[in-house]
Amino acid sequence: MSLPLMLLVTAASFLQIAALPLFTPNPWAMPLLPVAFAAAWSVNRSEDEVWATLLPAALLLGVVSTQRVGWFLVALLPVALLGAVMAQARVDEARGLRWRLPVTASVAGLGALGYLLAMAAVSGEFFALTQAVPAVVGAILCTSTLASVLAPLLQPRQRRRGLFA
Amino acid sequence: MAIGRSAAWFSALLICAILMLAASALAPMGGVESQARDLVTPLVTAVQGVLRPISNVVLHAGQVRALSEENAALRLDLERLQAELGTFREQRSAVAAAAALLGTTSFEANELLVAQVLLRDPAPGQSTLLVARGSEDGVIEGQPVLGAGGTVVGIVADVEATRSWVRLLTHSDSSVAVVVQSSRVPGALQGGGGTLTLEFVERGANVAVGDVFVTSALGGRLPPGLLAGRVASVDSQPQHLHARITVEPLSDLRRLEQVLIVTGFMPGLDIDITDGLQ
Repeated sequence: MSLPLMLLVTAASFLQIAALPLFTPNPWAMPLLPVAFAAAWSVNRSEDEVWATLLPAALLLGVVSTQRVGWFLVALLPVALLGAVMAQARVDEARGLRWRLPVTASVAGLGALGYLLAMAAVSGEFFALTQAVPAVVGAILCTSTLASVLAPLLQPRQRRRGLFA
Repeated sequence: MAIGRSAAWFSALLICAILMLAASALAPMGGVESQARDLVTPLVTAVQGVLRPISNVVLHAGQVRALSEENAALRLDLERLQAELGTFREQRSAVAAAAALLGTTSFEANELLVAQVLLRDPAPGQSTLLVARGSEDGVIEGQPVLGAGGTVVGIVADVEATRSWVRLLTHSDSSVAVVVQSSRVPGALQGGGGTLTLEFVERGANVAVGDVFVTSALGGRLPPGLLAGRVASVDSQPQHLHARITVEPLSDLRRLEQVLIVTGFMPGLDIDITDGLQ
């Protein structure tokens, strides 16, 4: 388990609650910061480390919501699952960032879609979701873009190989 | 191996989620969540206090010219309204006498409670606010909540000791009986997806863009006469039974910082239509 990741995702969840409503008045259009961080980390670092961070993120989001904490955990599962699936396809590490950027964006976008669909389902807001398609698409694109920006920052540094290493 | 680990994590978290969902129905968990909220809420409020001026600048950047024009228009309005105010002051005494005669009540200062908005529900599409007043302050479920200018913005949906959840008019579960102020056409103000619509208004009814409507006493859930919104558009297709009317709230529901809870109103008359059927 990675402490930096735990702190990053928890901080992202906190910003999701405290900061984003001030900048994005439409609740459907908010980029999903925990999803973006989880997607970027799972594709670029370790998919295993992401699973454990979902619990504190869900707890933080859940205690300040009228929805139950468990639903937030369910809604965050798709991004970790997609990250794990894509990690299995990470065969050729030499493809590097060129391969990781679109994959990170896809995992974040699909993870955001999964989160929004799950939350809309549990709160009976499916109709509202269909009415707010442009805002939802905006939220998904913002989440993907943010994850893509994070991807190069999370690239593991290549060690210089010595003569005998 | 990695697939097995991921599958194990997924299963464990899914079971954890199911256990949390089951446990959240138990009474002690409500207390735990409330205590956790006590820890998080002051931090959220502090961060929002710092970020709010920045968000105001960011959201209004590029609107300086429009704001200047709006300011000039508002100044003109202010002068006109000050002139009207003199007239209304004269009329007030006559109205007060009439109100006493009719037995109507208007809200006194001690019937209103100022409540600070602590945070918005982070669940997408949930138009719900947490405000810093609760049952210890005399707040009960169902009391109306007013925004700027005394316009109704929502209803108290759930009450804790020191805090309450307010369901905004734009919430999909929100439906409020209203009448158009000028023509007295009745309807239901329905929320959903962050927007407001006026439902059950017959096609061809006397409703026009810009009409203001107020709450109706129908159902006893809200006091009558509270300003609720303004008609933004009317779409009256011949094939529809009812007109499609979209509504804009008179307060900006997305940027509320303080609200007034009408503690003087007791929402008691909740008609159960199944009573007579049994």
